[in-house]
Amino acid sequence: MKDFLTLFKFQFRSQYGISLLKSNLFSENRKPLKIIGLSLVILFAFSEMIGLYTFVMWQVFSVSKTLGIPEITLTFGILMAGMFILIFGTVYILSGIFFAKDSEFLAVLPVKQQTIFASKFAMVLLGEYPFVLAMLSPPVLIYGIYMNCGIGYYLLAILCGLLLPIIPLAIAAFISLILMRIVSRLRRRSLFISIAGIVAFVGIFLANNLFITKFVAQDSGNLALNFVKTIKDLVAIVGQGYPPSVWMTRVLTAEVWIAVSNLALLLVSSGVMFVIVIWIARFIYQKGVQSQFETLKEGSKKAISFQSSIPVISICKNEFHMILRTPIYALNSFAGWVMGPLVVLMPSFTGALKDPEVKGMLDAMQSQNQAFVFLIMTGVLTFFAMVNPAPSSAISREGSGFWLLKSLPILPRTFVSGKLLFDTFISIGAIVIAGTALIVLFRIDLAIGVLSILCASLISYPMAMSGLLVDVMRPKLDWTNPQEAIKQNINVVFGMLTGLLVVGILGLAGYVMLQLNMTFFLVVLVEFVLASVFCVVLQQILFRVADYKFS
Amino acid sequence: MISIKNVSKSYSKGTVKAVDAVSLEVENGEIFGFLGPNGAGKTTTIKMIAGILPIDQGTISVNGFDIEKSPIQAKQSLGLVPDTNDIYDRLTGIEYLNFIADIYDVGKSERTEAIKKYLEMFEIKSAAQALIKSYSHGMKQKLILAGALLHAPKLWILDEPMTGLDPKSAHLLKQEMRAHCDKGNTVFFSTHVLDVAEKICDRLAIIKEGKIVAIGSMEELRQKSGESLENIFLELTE
Repeated sequence: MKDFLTLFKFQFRSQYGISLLKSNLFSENRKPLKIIGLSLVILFAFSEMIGLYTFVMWQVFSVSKTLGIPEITLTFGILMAGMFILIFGTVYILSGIFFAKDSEFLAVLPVKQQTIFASKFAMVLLGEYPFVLAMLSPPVLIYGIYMNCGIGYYLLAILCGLLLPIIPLAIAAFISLILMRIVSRLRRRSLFISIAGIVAFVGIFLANNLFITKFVAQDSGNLALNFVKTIKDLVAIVGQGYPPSVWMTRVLTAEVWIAVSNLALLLVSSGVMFVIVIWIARFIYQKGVQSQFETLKEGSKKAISFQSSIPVISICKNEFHMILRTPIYALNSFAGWVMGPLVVLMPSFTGALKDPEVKGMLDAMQSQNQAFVFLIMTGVLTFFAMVNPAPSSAISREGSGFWLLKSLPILPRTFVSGKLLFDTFISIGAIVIAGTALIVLFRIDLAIGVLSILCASLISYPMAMSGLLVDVMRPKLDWTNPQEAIKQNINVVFGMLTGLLVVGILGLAGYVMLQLNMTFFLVVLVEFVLASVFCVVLQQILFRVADYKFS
Repeated sequence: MISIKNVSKSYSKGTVKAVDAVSLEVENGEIFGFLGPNGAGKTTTIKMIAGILPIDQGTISVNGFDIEKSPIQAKQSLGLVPDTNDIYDRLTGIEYLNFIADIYDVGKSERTEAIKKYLEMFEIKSAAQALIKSYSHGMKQKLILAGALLHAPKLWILDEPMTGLDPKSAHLLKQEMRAHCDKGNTVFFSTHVLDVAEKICDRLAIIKEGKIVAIGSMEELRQKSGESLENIFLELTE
C-alpha cells in the first residue's frame, strides 16, 4: 500500500504539475492571470456542450415524468457516462499504462508490477472524474431539484459518481491487458494496435446504431416521446447487460432497504472487478509493457535509400511516419476518414432511407435550390476537417525533441508549412471519402457534389491553419505519454473552436446569400473567394506568428 | 569561428542569471573546450550559439553571421550535437539522416557518401533501417553526431559529445575533430572529461555561475595556476 501511495503521489505530481501550478500561482514569478484566463476560456469551450446536454436531460426528464418514470433520467445519464468511459477508457488505459514514457523508468523500480499497474489505473480513474462530474451533474440536479430530494440523495449521488468509472475502466483495462498480451507476440505492433483500434471504433459505432435502430419507437409523431421510449427500451436492455446503471438509479431513488442492498451490490462488484484486473495484471502487465521496449533492431532488409526532398516535403513525410507509427496519433488523426462515411451511412443502418417520408425529403432535396444543397453539403464536409486534431497538436507532438526543429537552418514558417501540408492532407482525405459517400447515398448531383468537395477542401486549409496557430502560440511540449499531446491537449478543443469560427463566418455568408436569392454560380463563387481570402490572411498570420515565436 | 560579445541570459524573469556578460572568440582551426561544473551555464551558452535560445543581451556571431539577425545562414554553417538525445524515435535511422540532409540541402551524391561514411565509422549501418526507438543511448548519440556532421559544417558545436560512446567511437570522433580543425574549421565542445579536454583542445574556457573565470591555451592556464587541468578546474570552480 505504501508503494502504491508513493507511486500515485509521484505520478499525480508529475502529470498534473501541482508544483508548477503552485509556482504559477504563488511564486514571485506567478502567472495567475494567465491561469485564470485560460481556465475561463476552457470553461467557456465546454459550457456550450454541457448546456446542450443539460437541455437534452431536461427534455428526457419532462417527458419521463409525465410517463411516471422520472428516474430514467438518472439511469440514462449514468448509462451514457459508463458507455463513454468504456469506449474511450480503453484508449486512455493503453496510452497511460502501456505507452507512457515513464514505463521503462517505473519498470526498474523495486516495486511489484501490479502495484505500478494499480497506481497507473488510479491515475486514469482520477482523470475520468471531471467527465463524470459533467455527465452526472445535470441529471442528478434536475431530478433532485424537481423531485424535492434531500441531502441524503446528493451525498449518495457523490458516492455513485465516485464508483461509476471503476467498473467500465476495469473492463477497459481488461481489454487493454489482453490486447497488449497479444501484441507482445507480434512483429508489427504499432500497426496492429492502430488497425485494432479502428476496427473496434467501427464495430462499436455499427453495434450502437444497429442496437438503437432496433429499439427506435416509430409509432408516435411526438419526437420527444419517441426519444424517451427509445431510452426506456435502451435502459431496459442495457440494464440487463450493464446492471450498475440500474443499481445506481435504485441507490438514488428506491426505498431505503432496496437502496442499501443496491449500494452494497455496487460496492462489492466495483471492488471485485478492481481486484480481478489487478490480479490479472500481476501475470500479464509486465509482458505487455516489455513488448514496448523490445522494438526490433534489424529493420527493413531493403537497400538503404538516399532519396532527397525539399524541406517542406521532408517535414511532411516525417509527420506521416511519426503519426502512422504512433497508434494514439494514428487513431485520432485518421478517425475522420472512418467516421465520415460511417456518419453518412448511418441513415442506411437505421433504415431511414427506406422510410417514405425520408425518401420524399430526399427527392425534394434534388429539386431544391442548388445553392442550398451545395452549402449544406459543404457545411457537413467541413465538419470532418474541424474534428481533425492533427493541426492543433502539430507542435505539441514534438515534445522534448522540439530542439531539433528549432536548431535547423530553416525559417519556422518552413517547418510549419510541412506540418500544415500533412494536416490539410488528412482533412482533405476525410472530406473526399465522406463527400463521395454523400454523393452516392443521397443521389446528389455530381457537379454540385464535386464543387462541395472542392470548396470544403479549400476551407479545410484555413481551418488547419487556425488549429495550428493555436498550437504555435502555446504548444504543450511537456508530456510523458503521447496521449497528453493530442487527447489531453486543450489546444485541440481551441483548434476546433477556431475552425468553427471559420465555418461560421462562411456559413453566415451562405445564409445571407440564400436569403437574397442569389444564383447558384454566384453563391459558389463567393464561397470560394471568401475561403481563398481566409487562406491568404490566415497564412500570413500563421507564418508571422511562427517566425516571431520560434526565431 | 565564433564571436561572443557581452552575452547574458536570465531565466525566471531575470531572477536567475544563467550566463552573465560572457565574451569570447573562437578562431578558425581551433578545438575549443568549454568546461564548467553542472549548472554553470555551458548548455545555455551552447543553445544561444546554436540559435535555440534567444539572447537577452549581447551578440553572437557564427562564421560571420549574427545568430539573431541571420539565423538561417548561421545555422546552415554549424552542426549541433545537444546534451539530450531526444529525437524522433518513431523514425528509422536512415529516415532521420535523410531528413537532416534534406533540410541542410545536401545533394544526393554528397549525402550518400556522408551517410555511408558516418554509419560505417560509428558502426550503426546495420541498424540504419531500424526505428530509433530501438537504439541504445550510445547508438542514438552516434546517430545525432552523424546527423550533425553530414552536411560538412564549418563549425561543430558538441555538447558532451562523448557521453554514451564506446571507446572506439570516442577515439574516432576525437580524430575527426582534429582532422576537421586541421582543415581550418572549428570545433566548440563542452565536456566533463578533463583528460580529453587537456589532450585535444587548443584553447579552453572555464565557466562558473555564468561567468568566464579562465580562458586560454593549456600552457597559458598552467602559467596562471600551475599543474594539471583537473587542479586548475577544481581551484577555479570551488
